[in-house]
Amino acid sequence: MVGVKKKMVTLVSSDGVEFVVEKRVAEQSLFIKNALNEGGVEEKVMIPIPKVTSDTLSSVLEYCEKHASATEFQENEIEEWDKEYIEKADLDLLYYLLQASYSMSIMGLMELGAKKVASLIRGKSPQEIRELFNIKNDFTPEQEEEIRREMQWNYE
Amino acid sequence: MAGAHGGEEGSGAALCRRWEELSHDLAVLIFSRLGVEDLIASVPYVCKAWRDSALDSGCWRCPDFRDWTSISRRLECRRDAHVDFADLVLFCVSLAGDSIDSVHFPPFANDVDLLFVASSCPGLLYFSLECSEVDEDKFCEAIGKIGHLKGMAVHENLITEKLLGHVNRCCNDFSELKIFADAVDEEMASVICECLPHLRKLEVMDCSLSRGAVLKFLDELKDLEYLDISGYENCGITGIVLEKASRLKISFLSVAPSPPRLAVDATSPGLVFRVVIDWIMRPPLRHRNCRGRNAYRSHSDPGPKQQTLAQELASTATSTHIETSEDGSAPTPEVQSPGVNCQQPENSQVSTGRGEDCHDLRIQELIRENNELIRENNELSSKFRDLTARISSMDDKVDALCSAFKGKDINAIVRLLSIKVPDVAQATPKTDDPPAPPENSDNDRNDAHDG
Repeated sequence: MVGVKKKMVTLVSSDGVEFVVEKRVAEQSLFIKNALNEGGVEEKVMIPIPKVTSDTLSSVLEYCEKHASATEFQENEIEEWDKEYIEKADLDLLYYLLQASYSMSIMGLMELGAKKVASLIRGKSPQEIRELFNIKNDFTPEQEEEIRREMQWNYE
Repeated sequence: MAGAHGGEEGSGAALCRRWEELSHDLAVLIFSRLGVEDLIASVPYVCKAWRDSALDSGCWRCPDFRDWTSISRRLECRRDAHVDFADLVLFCVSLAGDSIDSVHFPPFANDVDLLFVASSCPGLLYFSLECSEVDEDKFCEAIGKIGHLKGMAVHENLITEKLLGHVNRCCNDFSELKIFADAVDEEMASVICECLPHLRKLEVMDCSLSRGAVLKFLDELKDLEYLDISGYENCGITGIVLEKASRLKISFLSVAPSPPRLAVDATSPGLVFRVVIDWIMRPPLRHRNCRGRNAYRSHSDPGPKQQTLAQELASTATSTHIETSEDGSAPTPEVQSPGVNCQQPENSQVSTGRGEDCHDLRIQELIRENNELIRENNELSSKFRDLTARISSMDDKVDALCSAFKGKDINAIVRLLSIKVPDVAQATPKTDDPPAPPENSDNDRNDAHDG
């Protein structure tokens, strides 16, 4: 497992699981890249990733690994891979991936997740959206009326 | 190496209703990808957190009204489309805090709408206006108000020296142009090149383009990085076009009738090679239907397939040679000979068989066999005719390729094609000199019949 030349870093998930990955893979995350730069070039780096559980982190790293070697693939191959990757994530994972990519500053993954969620919202009624995402309606009828006024776009 | 240190929190702590706890920035990122109809009719009513996010100006920066039918249905528009659209734009502008980045106008929108948006949003970076009849003065007035404009998509009627020249004078950062056009000729291309010499991105999709226009773009737009001419069906993508296009960062040159868009990347010229191969190997029109898109796809498989194609390309030069010597009108007797050889002995047996009545059954069997052979022979010769037709269509293409290779040494060619397979590297130079050794033409003949 130990690469002779490859620089490795160890990422620790919020539930304490260690992931040993190549530095170039970990650096897909700007958060980690900055952390590594600040710490100088060290051999045994341990980076805690707060708020990201091991399940999520392993999926995030799958993404990072693919994109770290993106130059080996054609653009449309990466696109296809992204599509499949985000398609197989369920709503729970999608949520954690978004939060993780946000806190770890992985722009590509964040965009990918946002695009997917937007496609799930598009064209649906408020009730349909609440059911899909398991969201509770926390408005009183008066507040809903207020939104209607707020969103009054046509001045008949 | 990965060892669990006992997860106290548990890996998947089941949080209830977490989607409303989505951070504001993420929510805005998601909502900015939605249409105005979702932002007005659905999202704010879902929950308080989503309402707050939906009112963030970041969600309203790139309104897209192109699909007006579904927008007006969702928002229950009942008045004249122009009136509703004007109100809706005003509403978006108010929520975006005057900082709209891009607008995609609905098909019916005109110069008045453009002028309104330009006046309200001086920071506009991009707009798309399909309208074919535009008042030139109003258009110029609008452009004068949006000096930061980086790109626009407009109808071909607006491609005039006056309008584009005005754009060039008013907008220093202007670098992207998309044209809604049926046809772009060399004249229009030179207007674009003269007025907007610093274009970096040009999209002229699904229209008929003259080859001169393509070459003009590639020659004169020195800063061009991205060219999309997909849907361009004339067979004008020659070796020269490909060579010139290879300097671009990204380009989409489509070569098949319903094209999968092919990215040609200067850093991986192997792709250019694949386009060339596809284009050379594309059969003449009447066969195209039965091959279709799948055949095209299969060519992009890496590995041995590519090698076969390259070998085929190499042998093309030799078969072309044979073909031209016979004027292409009929298969040469030589080439037909394998079929003829089989046939003639049988014929002679049949004729001897007739003299001996007691061998009736045998004779009938032989006649059947003979008929079968004749049918087979006919099939083979019709296949051969198809192949010669294909070969003659390849002829021109090979010439184009040869001219692209002419004057280059082998290394340059190999680099251009970026071929890893050594066989191919050897095979490629053969296309440079059509006269082929005779043993090659033999192989080629057999191949033709096997196929």
